[in-house]
Amino acid sequence: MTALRKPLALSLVLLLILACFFAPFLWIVSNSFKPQLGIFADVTPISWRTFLPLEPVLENYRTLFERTNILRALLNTAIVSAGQVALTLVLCAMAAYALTRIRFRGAKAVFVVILLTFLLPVEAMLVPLFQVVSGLGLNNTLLGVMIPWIASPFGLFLLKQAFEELPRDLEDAARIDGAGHVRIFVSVILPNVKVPLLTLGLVTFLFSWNSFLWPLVIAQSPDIQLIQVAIAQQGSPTQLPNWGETFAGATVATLPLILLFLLLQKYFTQGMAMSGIKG
Amino acid sequence: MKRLFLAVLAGGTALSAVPALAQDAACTAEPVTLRILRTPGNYPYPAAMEAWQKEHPCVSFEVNEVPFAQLGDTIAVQAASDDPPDILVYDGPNTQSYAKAGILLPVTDYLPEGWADDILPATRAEHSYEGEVYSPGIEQTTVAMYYNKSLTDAAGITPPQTLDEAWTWPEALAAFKACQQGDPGAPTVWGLGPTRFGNGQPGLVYQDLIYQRSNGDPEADPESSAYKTFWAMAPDGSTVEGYLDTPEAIEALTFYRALFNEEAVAPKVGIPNAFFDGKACFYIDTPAAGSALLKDPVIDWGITPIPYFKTPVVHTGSTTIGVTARSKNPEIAAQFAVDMSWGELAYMNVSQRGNLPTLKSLFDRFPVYQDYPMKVFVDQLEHWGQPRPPSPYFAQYDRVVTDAIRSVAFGGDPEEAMQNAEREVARAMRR
Repeated sequence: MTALRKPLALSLVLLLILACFFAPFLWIVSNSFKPQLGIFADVTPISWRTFLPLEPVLENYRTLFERTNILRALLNTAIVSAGQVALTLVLCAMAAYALTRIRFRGAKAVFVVILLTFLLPVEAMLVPLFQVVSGLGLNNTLLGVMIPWIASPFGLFLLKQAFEELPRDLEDAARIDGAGHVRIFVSVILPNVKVPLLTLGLVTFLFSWNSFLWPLVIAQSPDIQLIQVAIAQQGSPTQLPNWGETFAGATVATLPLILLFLLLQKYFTQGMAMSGIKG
Repeated sequence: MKRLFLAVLAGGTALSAVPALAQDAACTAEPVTLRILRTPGNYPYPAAMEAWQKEHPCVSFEVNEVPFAQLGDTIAVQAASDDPPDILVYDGPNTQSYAKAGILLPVTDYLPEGWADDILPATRAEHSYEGEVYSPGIEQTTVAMYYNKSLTDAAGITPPQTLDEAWTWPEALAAFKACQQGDPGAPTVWGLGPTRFGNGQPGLVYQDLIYQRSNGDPEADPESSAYKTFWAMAPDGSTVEGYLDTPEAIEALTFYRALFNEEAVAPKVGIPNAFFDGKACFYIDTPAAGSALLKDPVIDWGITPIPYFKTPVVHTGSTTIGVTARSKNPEIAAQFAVDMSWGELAYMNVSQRGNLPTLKSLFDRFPVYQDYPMKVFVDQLEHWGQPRPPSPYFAQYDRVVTDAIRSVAFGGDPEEAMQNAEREVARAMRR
């Protein structure tokens, strides 16, 4: 009896935790199918009605796509996220290679300094970043949105851990065959760190897709707005917010991330575990 | 892969090119692009801009938008750079803060003849600093109390419709209690609905500082607590000490706390749309709610003036237009800001948006404000309107006092909250 109770109790606890994580998402999706008036009618007291659209409508999605620039924002976000992933992978992999495979004085100090930039909050860097990026003429451009974040300390840390695990023999064998640094990097190192690369790509994509503050400051033109900023455009003190559109926008913005995560979650968990236990 | 990567970069760069508004008139001088930073759906509106462009064919526009909640942060970052926007459409009460910080350019020299006589006094006070006008203003707004007529009729309540019959807060509380439905603590219909301002919780200075201010007296001796209670900050903006924790302020805040606690006629948490969903008898909002209800009357509704304790008062202030001090085109930007706020162009802007104008001469051109219910807003603005305490430290004041009033709504001690708020604002002012 006791043996049965333990798994049951564990299952209940896990279900409860799952519900805590899943309920907000269910609420958002459910509200996106409720009519504008009535969305919050069943918020208190919380019941099953809160999470289910009793008379579902597609009005919020229709007006979202008709009235707002959501498709453009999705396209902009996809371009920025994909570009940021590509540039981050290239830059971090090259830096990790240099710090693990090329011996030079001060390599550890360089790595520590790069890691220390982890400690700087985005808000503290906002003004100098804006000065630099606008000084480069990249204000209000998609390149300006992505470029400050491609040198990722987290990415460097993750890939450096992975590179250090590769046996030196692989590199030595390639060198005997006459390979230089570029060939060793491209043909020997990179093919052996696919999982960390995929993990970094996914993490970077999530970060970029969900970015709000920097895209808000550097890219305000409606033509290059990103999805999170576009969703936040709803409502002001002198206009009533359209909550239905906001929930529909949040649902649309979340779906690509969920799909991507479901497709790549194996690599994501492997990579995260690897970054935690090795080194 | 390489081709794909290059295509993505090329596409991104192409998409990032910002189109300017088209111009059809001939330009014979140096072309100028005015960069405008505003919140979505805000003025200046295309019709007014195009009309102005006909007179200034060498000027084009680049309009950038950020959500209202992030406007202050964006201005703080961009104004500090070498590449600021030329025109800011910002929250009016921040005028003095921006002027003191060197963000705004004074536009006094550009104002047309007759402006000083036509502008609402509250607007002029709000947008001036050390003798200079920093924004001509375009629109004004304030809050009034909406009511669900079906619910008030069912409860046998007839809210006043004119300023001279306005309720006192105790009278309003009696109406809230009579109209509220359901179990105490968990009503199905609230007496006073939750705000939609800020994060939906009570406390915001714009809406809730008027409780304590209305328990003061602007005609009293300037050294008296009644006088200080009304102004809630020294009228010259020099100090806040002794202005927030007066006996009158504490008395009003104790009443305010009861609304959310002992009487429990108002929720502490945000419930968006509660009034429009028929879940609240009364609700405080700007003309935006009335405009929405006029277009789509989902409930039977009316407007009653904001209640008061001793002196009726409502806060004025809305988004306004200014020129950045570091604009690369200061003269044409100042001319644009002033022109957008004057005469026919101001009418075009205000009529598009649906709030009240700042120019008295334009009031007659808005039929919706000539009669009840929307006339209540005009009457309040003319007779009761006061800017939120004008000060170069308003941004800090707004944040600190909002937190203090919110803590009172959540059950905190009014005296302690206001004493702490005074100390914190005073500290910010000394920095």
